[in-house]
Amino acid sequence: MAEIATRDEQLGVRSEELFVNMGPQHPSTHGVLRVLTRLDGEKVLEAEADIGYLHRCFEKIAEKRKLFQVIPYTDRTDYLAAITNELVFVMAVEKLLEIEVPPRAQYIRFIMSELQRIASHLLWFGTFAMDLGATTAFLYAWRERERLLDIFEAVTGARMLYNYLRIGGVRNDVFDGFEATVEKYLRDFEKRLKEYHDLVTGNRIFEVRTQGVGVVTAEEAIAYGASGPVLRASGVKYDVRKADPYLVYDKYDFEVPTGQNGDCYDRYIVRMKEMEESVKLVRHGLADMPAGDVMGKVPRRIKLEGDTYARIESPRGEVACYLVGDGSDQAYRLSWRSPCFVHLQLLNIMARGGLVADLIASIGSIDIVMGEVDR
Amino acid sequence: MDFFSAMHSGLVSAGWPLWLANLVPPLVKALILLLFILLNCTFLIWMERKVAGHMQRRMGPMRLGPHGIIQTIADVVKLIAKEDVIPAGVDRWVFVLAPIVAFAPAFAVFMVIPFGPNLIAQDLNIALIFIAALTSFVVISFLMAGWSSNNKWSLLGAMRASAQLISYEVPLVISVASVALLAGSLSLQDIVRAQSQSFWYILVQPIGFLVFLTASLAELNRSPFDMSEAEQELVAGYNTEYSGMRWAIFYLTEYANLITFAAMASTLFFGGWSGPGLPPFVWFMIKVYFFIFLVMWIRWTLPRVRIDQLMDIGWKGLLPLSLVNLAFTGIYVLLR
Amino acid sequence: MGRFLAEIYKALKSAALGLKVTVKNLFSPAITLQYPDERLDLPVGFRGIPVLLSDAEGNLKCTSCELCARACPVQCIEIQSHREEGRKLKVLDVYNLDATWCMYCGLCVEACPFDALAMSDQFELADYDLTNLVFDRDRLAEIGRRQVTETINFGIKTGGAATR
Repeated sequence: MAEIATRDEQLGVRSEELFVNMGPQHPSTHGVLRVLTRLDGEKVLEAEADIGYLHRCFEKIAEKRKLFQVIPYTDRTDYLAAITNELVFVMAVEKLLEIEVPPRAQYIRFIMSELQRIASHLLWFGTFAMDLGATTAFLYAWRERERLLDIFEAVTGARMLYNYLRIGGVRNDVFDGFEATVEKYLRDFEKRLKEYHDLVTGNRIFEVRTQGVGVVTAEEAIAYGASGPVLRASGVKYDVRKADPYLVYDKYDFEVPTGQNGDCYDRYIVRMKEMEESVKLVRHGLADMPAGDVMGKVPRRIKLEGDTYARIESPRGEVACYLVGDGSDQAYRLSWRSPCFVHLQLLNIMARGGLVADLIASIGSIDIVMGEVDR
Repeated sequence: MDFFSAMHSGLVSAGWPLWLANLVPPLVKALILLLFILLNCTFLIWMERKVAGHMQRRMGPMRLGPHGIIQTIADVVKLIAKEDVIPAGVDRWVFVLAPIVAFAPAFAVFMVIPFGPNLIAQDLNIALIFIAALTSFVVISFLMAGWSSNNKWSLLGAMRASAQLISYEVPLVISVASVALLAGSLSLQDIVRAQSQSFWYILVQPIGFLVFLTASLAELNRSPFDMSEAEQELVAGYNTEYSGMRWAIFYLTEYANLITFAAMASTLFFGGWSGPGLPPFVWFMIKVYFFIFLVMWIRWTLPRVRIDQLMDIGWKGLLPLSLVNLAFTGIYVLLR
Repeated sequence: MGRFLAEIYKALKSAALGLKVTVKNLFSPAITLQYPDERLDLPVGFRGIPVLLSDAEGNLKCTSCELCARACPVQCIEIQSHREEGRKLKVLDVYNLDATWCMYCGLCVEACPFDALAMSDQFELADYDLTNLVFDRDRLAEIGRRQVTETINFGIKTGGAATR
């Protein structure tokens, strides 16, 4: 920003700045994000995210509910990747109570969270393309996502807010023919991915709109505590699934795609490649899924004592849950790490110096879910 | 135009004053053209929604009439019934005038479009210049709408519209000039006749057509160049504050301009109304609808470019291409 | 010059690729349903509004144990009951489920030890009047009597379309 100011001074002109309130009602702020922007014509001098419009006191509610009653609320933090949010909460509780989860339940959780990653990335792909003006890609992405949600619906009973994982396992076993259904879906999905690449990835307009836009260097990303695709697009090879394996991730070899420039294009490519990796992981999981129970032994009287920290790689980044117990059957304190909240703080770095259109592309590329930012 | 001169002389002999009789034929023509625009726009809005729907594997409007064909009429009824909102703080007169200023030139352009060998309201000998002048007029209405709305999004949209104007207008006119050079006339009717006697100019003007198509998309404010009303960026750009019938007139203008573009493209490069077998008017409409479909197809496929990139495309891409094209056309005409 | 032409070629080629995709989809059948006329077949276990189930004689299975009310995270279930002379079980007087609060999590059904409650496939609950969204005992039982499948994954399917 400094260089912009000096250039104006050098020229001896002082153009009046325009203060624009982008949102909370704006077509592409993904919910109720308000961005306070200072513009010089079209050029963004400063973009500050104002959050809190969707605050629902999730952490406080979690202290006042029985542990099993918290699970539906975790769904509602990041409603586009509900399974991964449930997972991090039940993992924290299981860690604290030292509950053994049966292998079949582990595998179901594993498959579900990878399918969830595909569903979430699909939605992101659609909205990102739409932010850039390619409306049709949005509908194509939703077409595939709907079929995936049909699978989720058949397994869990709901399309978005599943309430499926339980402390010690999962609520119910998958339906008969689950493997075949998912495999058929994956085969179709791989064909569709090619369609997306034809429609969006290779498109010259898309390339010039995203390459070199919204750059976050690796140092900045680390300094701000970014995680997930935003961090990896900057060239840092860090993935909780590799760094701190949970479920059965340590059994399988998969690639962690990274970018180099940390621009919108790299973030896009990283996510698209992650979907391909997820397809592979789901296939592995389906092949190795053992038979058996889906619920482990959970003590009738729950006594939470001590504290624990559980973290996982959600589609958006590192979601973590810090849980403190005071000997009762409810959480004394629950703290939630939300990756989107962190990434949103990078918005000013990404947007300043660019144009309004770049600001939109930057917001789209960090894949924010306001439900998770505000909790 | 025998019918209209007959009408004129009939009126004069019936004892009408001359000035009044002079006024009647143009008014009737204008009424017919208005009817043509309204009918086609009604259909086009439905078509756009259908094309978009099916490209996105949806059905589009389905509920009113067979395949939702009268959906647009229902929409218009709804828009008319809406409250006429003039927001507080707007520049009232400019705000009210802007849609009219937008529609008037879009309507006037139809005067010189040849629908058939004799089917033209006024065969102007400077038709091309007339069209180039009037179609760029629309930017004034955008500026009026954006400025008077007293809304920052509208203002940004208006600024974009006026900033992008010169970057596409120059190559557009130059690419059209090559066609005029080939035909040796600025009259659209002459250009069509020249093509029907020789060949469609697309054969020798592929680059010219490409430049014309790209620049026209920018002029139409259509995706991928719809920066001035970019929904995802500027909410709705210059017409953010408009609602009801005023907004509908902007919408109507957009589609009227679309028809103008399609008519121009088919007239300048694809032989206009000329064609074997079918009546000229049918040929004309087939070509027009093909180009309208092409524009819709592009709109629902490509992402939007950025404003500075449009200037890039305009100045560094289209302008040199159109100039080279003009030079080669000149050599071709010289050697012919 | 070469770069200029290559750029134009690339832009046109990529645009053509995209156009090919959209036109291919233009001539493929639509995948959407015309909703009120056509409906998706919901899987058994779908979580619509929870309903009260009845036994073969048509009596409610509910024993007024209030476990569902206690399991509900949003406390949207209200139960009142009384004891009657000569009957072992409590008599259910009031069972109000406030659908404006309910988040369809299904925890009440999981808590029920008597299989007296199940998630139905009724999801079209919109109403102009908020008070109509408080489902009382009789309305819940009425939907529950339309049960056409076994209770699978705590859910049932009901015959007959809407709630009203």
